[in-house]
Amino acid sequence: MIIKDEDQLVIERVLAGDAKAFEMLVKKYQKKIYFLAMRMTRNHDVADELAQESFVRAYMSLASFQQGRNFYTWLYRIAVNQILNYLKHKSFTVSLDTPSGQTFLEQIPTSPDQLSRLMNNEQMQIFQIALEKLPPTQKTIFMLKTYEEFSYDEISKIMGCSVGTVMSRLFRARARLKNALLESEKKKNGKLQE
Amino acid sequence: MGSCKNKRLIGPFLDGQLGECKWLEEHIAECSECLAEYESVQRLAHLAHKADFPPPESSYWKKFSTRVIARIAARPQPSRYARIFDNIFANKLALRLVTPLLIVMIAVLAIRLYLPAKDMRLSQAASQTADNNISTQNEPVPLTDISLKLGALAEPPNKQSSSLQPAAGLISQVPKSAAETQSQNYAIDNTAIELAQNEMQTKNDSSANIGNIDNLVQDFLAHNPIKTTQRKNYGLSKGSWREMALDLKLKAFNTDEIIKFQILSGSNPSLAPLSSYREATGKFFAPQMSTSRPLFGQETPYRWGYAVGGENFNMDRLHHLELELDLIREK
Repeated sequence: MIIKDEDQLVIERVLAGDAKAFEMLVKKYQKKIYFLAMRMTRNHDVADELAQESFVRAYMSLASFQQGRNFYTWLYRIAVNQILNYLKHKSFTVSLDTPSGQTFLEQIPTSPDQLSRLMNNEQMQIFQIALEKLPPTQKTIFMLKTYEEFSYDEISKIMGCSVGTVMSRLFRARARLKNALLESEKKKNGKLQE
Repeated sequence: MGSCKNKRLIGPFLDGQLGECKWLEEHIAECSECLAEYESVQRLAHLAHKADFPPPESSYWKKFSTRVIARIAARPQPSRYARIFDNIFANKLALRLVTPLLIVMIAVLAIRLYLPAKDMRLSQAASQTADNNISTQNEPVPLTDISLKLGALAEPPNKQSSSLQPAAGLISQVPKSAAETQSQNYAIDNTAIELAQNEMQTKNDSSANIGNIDNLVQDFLAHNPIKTTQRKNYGLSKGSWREMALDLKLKAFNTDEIIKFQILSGSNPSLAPLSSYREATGKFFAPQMSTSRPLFGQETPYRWGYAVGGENFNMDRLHHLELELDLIREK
């Protein structure tokens, strides 16, 4: 877990004029911020831009960072705001391509193993589509919990809402994802029966 | 069949928010709905990790931090004042102190800018008569009996004498220049101001003088017929105002006389001279009337105001006034 003291020491050095020290914080959290942006936007270039901008904004706002606070969640909050602003102004379509670029839905299984793989990949696609369709705040909370394993309290600070709201939105996000998977399974079962 | 009320706890339980919760573990084993929810949450987490994006190449990470630092260095530095501003807003305590001050300052500015100017005190108006350089070009106006009577009425009732000698200085300051030009200026007549003060005092004290004023008006009109249609509404347009001014000026008396007459009789202040006031660059003293007042002829309170001629004169407030020139009658 994050050692608050280390981050605070670096911040103090940066505020004292050692801008190069900020690079230490960048290196420490660059992957997490990048992946958050990547999962939300599904575009490497956009994620790269958003991640960089998040760090720049964090640097510019470092003077207002209060001692004793968790720099990690504070940085995440900046990144989440950047991403949500981007999503708000940019409509994007859900790609049916898997990360490898293949569309498995068109592949016809010829063996149980292939069928099983197809169903798994199809499930993944359906999951990805359903994830993309989530409202941005629900999606963000789901990702912060699932990938970063933040506590509800940390998520509430990042999102600027109450713990109860975090619980509620997370519950709804999971319900939507679950329903999307159930519906696709029902359709598939219906087709198989035919 | 209702949903199990514990279903909502499954997610927080798996997320580690509830800590040790044996009763819930036992419940999950017994409740099919909660068990399905338990499996669903786990399955979603599994799918999420499987569907995650592969990381970029390692070289990307090596350059990322360098690019961020370069980007920071390339940003224009905020100005000193912007930094101070940011620091204030970053500091909640400072913000709590500064915000009320800002609100008070804005309120004071708004009050000063948008409240209508209060009525000038007579003494203040009188003290500003230093700007009274005016040269008119009206033709000399012969003194009439009415002028004498105006002078007589200028005296407050308790000081009024039977003499018809005009008040000193009243007539003598009537401009004697020629015809009207576009840029006429009007003198501030100290005597007229005094008379106005007395008049106001008289009106406040009693209405005893109203009868006299009314008689005066009748006499005035009787001796000064004006060839315009009676009760002519001069409308609101610039041309109408000018027309009325020309009517009164050419056919009756000069503007100073009209002003004095207004002051003394408390008549409708939106008579012709106001159109002249637009051209006037001097300052003068005349009754002021609010646009929401009733039409002339009714009991219309008035108050002494300070009207400024020239381009700054605001005609808008008179735009819905309908002039009834009861003083202009056809004999």
